[in-house]
Amino acid sequence: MRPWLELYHARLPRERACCSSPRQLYVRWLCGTIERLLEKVEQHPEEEPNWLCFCDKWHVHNVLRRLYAERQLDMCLHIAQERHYLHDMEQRQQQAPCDLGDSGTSTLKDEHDRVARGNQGGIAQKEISFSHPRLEQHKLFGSEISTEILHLIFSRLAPEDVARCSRVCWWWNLAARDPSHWRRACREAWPMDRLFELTLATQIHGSWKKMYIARPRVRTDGVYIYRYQYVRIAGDQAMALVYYYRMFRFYNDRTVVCLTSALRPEIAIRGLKKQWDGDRSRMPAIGTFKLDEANRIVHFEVPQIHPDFPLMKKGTAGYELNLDETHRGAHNRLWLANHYVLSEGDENAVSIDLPVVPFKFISFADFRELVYEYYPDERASLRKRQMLREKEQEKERIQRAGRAGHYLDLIQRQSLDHFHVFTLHRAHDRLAHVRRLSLKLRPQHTLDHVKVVRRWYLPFREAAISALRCGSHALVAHVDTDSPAKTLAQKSQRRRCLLCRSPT
Amino acid sequence: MVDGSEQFVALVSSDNETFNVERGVANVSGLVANVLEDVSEEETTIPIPNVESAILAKVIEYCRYHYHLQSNPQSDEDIDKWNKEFVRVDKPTLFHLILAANYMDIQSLLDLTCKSVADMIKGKSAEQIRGEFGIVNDFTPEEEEEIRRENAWVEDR
Repeated sequence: MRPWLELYHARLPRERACCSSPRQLYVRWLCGTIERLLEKVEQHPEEEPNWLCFCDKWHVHNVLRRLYAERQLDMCLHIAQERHYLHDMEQRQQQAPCDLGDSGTSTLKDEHDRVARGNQGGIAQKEISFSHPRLEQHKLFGSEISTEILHLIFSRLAPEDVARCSRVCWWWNLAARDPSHWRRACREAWPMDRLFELTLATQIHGSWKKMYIARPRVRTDGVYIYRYQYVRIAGDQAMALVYYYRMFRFYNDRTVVCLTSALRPEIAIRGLKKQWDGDRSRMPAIGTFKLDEANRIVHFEVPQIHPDFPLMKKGTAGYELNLDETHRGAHNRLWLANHYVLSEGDENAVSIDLPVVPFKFISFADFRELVYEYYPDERASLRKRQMLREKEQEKERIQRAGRAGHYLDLIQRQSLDHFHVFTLHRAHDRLAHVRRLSLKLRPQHTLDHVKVVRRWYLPFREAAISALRCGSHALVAHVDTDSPAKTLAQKSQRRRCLLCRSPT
Repeated sequence: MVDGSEQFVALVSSDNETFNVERGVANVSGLVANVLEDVSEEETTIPIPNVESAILAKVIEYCRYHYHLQSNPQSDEDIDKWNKEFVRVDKPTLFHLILAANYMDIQSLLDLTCKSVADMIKGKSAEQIRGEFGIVNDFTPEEEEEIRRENAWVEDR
């Protein structure tokens, strides 16, 4: 085990958490120890500093390098002599002095091998037995999320989510760096490549994660969207701004779903499916795309069908798009480079004007917000709709409260001391039977229990049925101040009905 | 199980609580199934040293439900509903369940529990995740900047 990992395992989580990698922790620890030692030497020059804190040859070795890098040659020599390390030092002096903080893992590993081989100094090796506390047992920041759990969870997350998770805290960052997640991501992103091809490709890019970021690919966790708009002029008077959206959704298995819709995007994306089983007139065009990685070109052809307009020509629409990005690895723009339509029976394809703005990528995670950010007028229209709806609801609420309040007022003032209440029994949504009761409304009846039917004058039967629809045990209070004794049948045509839900 | 005779297995949790369960129910766990295969017929006490009794009870509840599904199948919606209800527990329990499912080798339970945590994370920003799980941002500003730069490709629009 490498020393920084060993140290890392031995450290408390709190300490671990302040560094972004085990190596960094190790370097910090070394620096801290050296500083403390130097301080001691300055304060008590007569005392022999305790070099034994670096009793592992690894640490000695790294301390030497560290000191050497900082030009603390005196100290360097001191330790080296003390630890019979001079020989090794001289060797290293001939090589380029390297700073531990910047040197890569491989260099350190090489050095380690060298030290292992050239270990003739007969260093009395005193093993530090680092304790290996069981990582799972650590209570981390209040919740018990260990690396093991994080690994299991991350292996079920999309790579984009894993990348987001690495910004949560140092601990999560470490877990999100696990190459196995990125290996899985790469295998999913390039399912056509065999494993050894992918493994070869990682050699070029450096790691699975780097490959996932840098290698050209279309993103599959959202849609690429563009809004076409034009002004339609009808005669001299009328003019209309027409707009519609075109969206591409790509799948890892090289399927592309293309949808052209005038609906609001957040509604239209529901129709972006590979397997379409809904309304045929809304069926998206489904095809297969090819990605030319060297030139970053996406090309695909999709059938053009017009189920609603059988007279329109059927054909194929072709798209050639240049993959672009606003940030390295984002792959979030598609510039339409060539767009043509080949109709059935025609020999030549018709080219279509290209938009000057690229298709923008919007992930499903924050689709709504981004759509509104890109197309602010959609937000405005949504707000307008929302306001209208709210206004209507408010109006209705006031109306209802007003009427119900009126009745409640009457009830509470006990001016309606005689009225009929019928319990309703639900049976298959029809009125099964009505039992007539004479009941006084009790103080526990509140506004919540009172619901007024929409129409003021309802035949009793209808009112009862609508009461049934409101709730299973609704009560219909038959409010009639002048003649409570008259039969229901006589008065059933013109009756004010008040619905009460029985207080349970 | 086909043999009909109701054999019982005793599962012993880390805090020495014994749970007597039917053999078929216990066999839902890959770990227990493997152990039962290896030991003799008479030996029916299996220690589960990594799992506490409260969690083990939950796991057995899960195994029992899914074992009985074999004999009287239910609609997928009902199963989904039951599963959803099952994972509606506090987060520490959920994390313990993940560990237990992983240890006892119950793939479906592992999937279920991990999925429910993954759903809490999905599509959220780092800040939202911290809020969700009560995690403190412990990066130094430089580190945060470095990691932000490294993962900017996700956030970039």
